[in-house]
Amino acid sequence: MIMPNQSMQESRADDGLDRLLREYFGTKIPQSFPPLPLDAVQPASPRMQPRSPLSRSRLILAACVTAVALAFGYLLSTTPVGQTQRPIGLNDGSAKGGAPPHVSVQPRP
Amino acid sequence: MSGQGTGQSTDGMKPAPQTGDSRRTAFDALYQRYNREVWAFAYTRWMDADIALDITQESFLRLWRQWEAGEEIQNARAWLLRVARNLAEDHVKSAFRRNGTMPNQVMNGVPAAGWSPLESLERDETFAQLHAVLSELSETDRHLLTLRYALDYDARQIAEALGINTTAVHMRLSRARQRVAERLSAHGVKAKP
Repeated sequence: MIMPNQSMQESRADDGLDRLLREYFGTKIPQSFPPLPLDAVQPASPRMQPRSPLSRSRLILAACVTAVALAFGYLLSTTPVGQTQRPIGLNDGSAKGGAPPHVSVQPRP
Repeated sequence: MSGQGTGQSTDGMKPAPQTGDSRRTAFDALYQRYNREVWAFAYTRWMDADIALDITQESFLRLWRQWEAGEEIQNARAWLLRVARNLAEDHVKSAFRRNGTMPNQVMNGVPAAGWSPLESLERDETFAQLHAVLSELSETDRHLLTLRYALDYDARQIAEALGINTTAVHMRLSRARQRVAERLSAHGVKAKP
């Protein structure tokens, strides 16, 4: 069968691509699959109930609540009981307004 | 590929045999029959031969656990592929990714003998670019190409594996190959005739 030049070139390119793909996948797929360690496998327990999809989020929520409670308790324990801070007024601090402090100078004898 | 096609009565796979020896024999037969197909399925997802092997083995081990527990699985092939899909999806967060089930040395590549260093280098480079091109394709295209070129399935076997007709296989395969050729060409790679 006589093929036009273009078709022959395409066919050759197809063959080349085929070969390339075959070689590529040939390097990837295992030539033989290793035997499975069946003796070491524990059978699945049929009685075991599947975990609820919410169980993980519940655990996380419980952990968060515990952490918040612990942090709150810690903060309470670090503050001394009965000690209250005096509220800060406008006259507190060094930048108070008003007249400068009076300085008395004693005359020398 | 004899004995590994999907055209046989795979869907009528019997439940786990009751006695230990026959169960083991049946499992071995199942493993030999479907390991490559499950591997191809996992490879399509991750494009990593080691991960695909891990997923394949984990899928079969889970099947074995089910059998050992007395569970009946009517369609083992479908079950395996479903488990492999779930494992592939969960792969990132799965513990078995870190632990694995088998060492990596079981992977056999094409032997380096017969390749000159330059040829080997060129080949590795071409394969790296082909890998990149394949990664850009859709999973459907990759699955088709993997079945065709890794498992050497013909159109009928691919059609049975994917649940489509052979005409669709030919058409999709042709398009997938065309995409690969175009993208390889864009990467400056030309398949040697």
